[in-house]
Amino acid sequence: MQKFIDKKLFAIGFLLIALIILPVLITSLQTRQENRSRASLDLPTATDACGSFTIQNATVPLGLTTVGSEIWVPNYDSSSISRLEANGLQQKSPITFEEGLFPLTLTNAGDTVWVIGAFEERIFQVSSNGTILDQTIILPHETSEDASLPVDALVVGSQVWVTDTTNHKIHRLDFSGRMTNNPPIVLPENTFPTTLTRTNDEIWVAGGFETSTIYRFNTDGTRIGDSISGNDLGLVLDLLGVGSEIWVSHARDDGSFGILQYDTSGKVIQEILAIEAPAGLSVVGDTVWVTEPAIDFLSNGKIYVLNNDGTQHFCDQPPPTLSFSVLLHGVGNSGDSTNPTNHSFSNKTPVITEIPLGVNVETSSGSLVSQGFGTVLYDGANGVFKGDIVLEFPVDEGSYTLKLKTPGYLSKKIQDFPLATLQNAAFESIEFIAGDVNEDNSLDILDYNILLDCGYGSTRVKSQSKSRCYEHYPYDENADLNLDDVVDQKDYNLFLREKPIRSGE
Amino acid sequence: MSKKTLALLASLIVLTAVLLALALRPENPQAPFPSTTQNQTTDLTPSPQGHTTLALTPNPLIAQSGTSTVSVEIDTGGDEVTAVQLEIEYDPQVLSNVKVARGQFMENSFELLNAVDQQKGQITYALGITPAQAGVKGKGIVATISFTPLRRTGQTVLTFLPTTLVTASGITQTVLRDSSSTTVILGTASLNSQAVATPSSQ
Repeated sequence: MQKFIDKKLFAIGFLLIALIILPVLITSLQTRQENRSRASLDLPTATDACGSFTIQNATVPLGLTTVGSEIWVPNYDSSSISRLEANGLQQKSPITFEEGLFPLTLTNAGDTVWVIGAFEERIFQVSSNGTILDQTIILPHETSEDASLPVDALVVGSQVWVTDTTNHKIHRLDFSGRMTNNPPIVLPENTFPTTLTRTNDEIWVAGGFETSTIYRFNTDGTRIGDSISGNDLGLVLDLLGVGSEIWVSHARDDGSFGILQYDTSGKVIQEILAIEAPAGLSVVGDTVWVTEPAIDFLSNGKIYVLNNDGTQHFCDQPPPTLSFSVLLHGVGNSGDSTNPTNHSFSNKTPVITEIPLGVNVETSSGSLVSQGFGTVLYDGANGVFKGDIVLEFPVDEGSYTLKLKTPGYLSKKIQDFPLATLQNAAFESIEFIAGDVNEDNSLDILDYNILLDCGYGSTRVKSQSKSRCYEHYPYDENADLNLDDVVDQKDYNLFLREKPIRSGE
Repeated sequence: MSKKTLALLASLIVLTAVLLALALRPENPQAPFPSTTQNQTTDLTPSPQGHTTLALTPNPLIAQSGTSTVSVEIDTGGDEVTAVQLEIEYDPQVLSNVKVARGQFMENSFELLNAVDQQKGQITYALGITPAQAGVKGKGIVATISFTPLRRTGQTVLTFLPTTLVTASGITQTVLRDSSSTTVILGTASLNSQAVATPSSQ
């Protein structure tokens, strides 16, 4: 029994370190940012100029895969799978599992997608239209104490190879999840197989502990060649066959991450270091998509798109930067709906000086073509918030509708604005109406109710001790409409001056 | 137990703390930026937490010539109600001079909005307690709706819209569990001589 517990802990610990803890915690140490003015609102950070994009409500996106015309991304922390269009935009609602399933990897196996979660002995199945199916797959094991722990799966011809970490095996199943006539591939006792991939006629399987070893197999399951390890290779996070190459995302002991490119003989071609903390890898069309977990558990993960030579795909055509000057009602030189030109009631010295801002770029028919997220900073001299947002994707030259949203305010629409692929644009004096406390883009009694529960005189800290205010988390912080860090009569009156009941644009 | 196992145990404890934090973190019920494919529902979604009901009474109402009145009755079912937002639809081709007046329930509350779109046929009426007041429990009349029929015969319906809301202290979502509309029968004919379509519960 003791031996079993040790073995199980050993394997689970390896799995966790390789797939979860290192990417998040080490990255967090490396790049932690103090952009916490409204951290609980969970808006993503700004993207870089090369066009990475964020995955909403996904802190730890890992082993993504292509399903039909969509790209599915497992979200470990939110127990869901995001569905993206090929351009990276999220148009569909995610597939959400019951609490307790922490999806790590996905495999498109025949008519269904196999979903493997952390700590889960069962493999879940989802139809290509996103329906979670009733049937699950449990890998065979000899005794109840040797319960299998799958980590990754790979389609090899008419079989699906599934790594069984705790039992040091690779099972070979058919598409219905039943065992084939081929016995499991048994690895050495000190090998804990995790991720696997295919290139040409070889299957590469990552295993080992502390530092990884990559094993190579023929499609019939026989070992070939030498295993790959060494100083270049840290803990393997994911493997991907790209043409005749194998890409390996890995994390070294010193906290550095990278993507190693191997040829089929096991020789390193180059290491891609453009991405700070690469984790999951997948081929999408003629590009490689790479996931990067968020810097902390309050932010969203990202996806980078690389060319086959390792360069960043979107750097060839940088998207435009949009500059905004924003007037927030009740703050600075902004008035309100009742007094649009009189800002004498407004707070000239906001305590919160950094505000998240999101922008959607849509066609006249409402199709989302790009988006961007960033922050605007208070300019006390002019009483406005200013900032730049880089769109996540280039846009074709044309006329677009821009939808702007910042937490706690009604959304704003700018219609028929011309944008060009390489052209930046500036927007002056965009006014936002305050009072959308619960972020449903309406000023109604639901917002009024939160104001009542959180006022008067509640500071942000004190409001946490007011049980009825805390019940409205994470919207309780939005009750401070004029950004003076106190919920009081000024916020209440500002709400009334904004003329509820109404909706955003 | 080996040193490796002990080290992994420590890692597991750290992860457990992280997972607990994640598990206890309330899910944001709405994406930071709404998807363009989201369609507004036209159904009144029953509150999972609420017990409050609203009803337009009487049902049916026999409307004679001149001004008639419908009451908006509330039963909080134990909820500590802080505000009520009525959104009611009517046929402006049948009813005119529609007005809303405050009822006895929450009679000292603050009137946030009292608007009737006579062209569109929509009532928006909202009232809430002031910061100094406590939530209200019980049954009563929130508001009365008066109108003048434009026709002598026929019938029409006053219906709650999905945007009708009731709030209670400490609850972020609406506490409105159910609402029921009313049929207005026009003219002097008795109830027995007309086929009355009882509106279904919303």
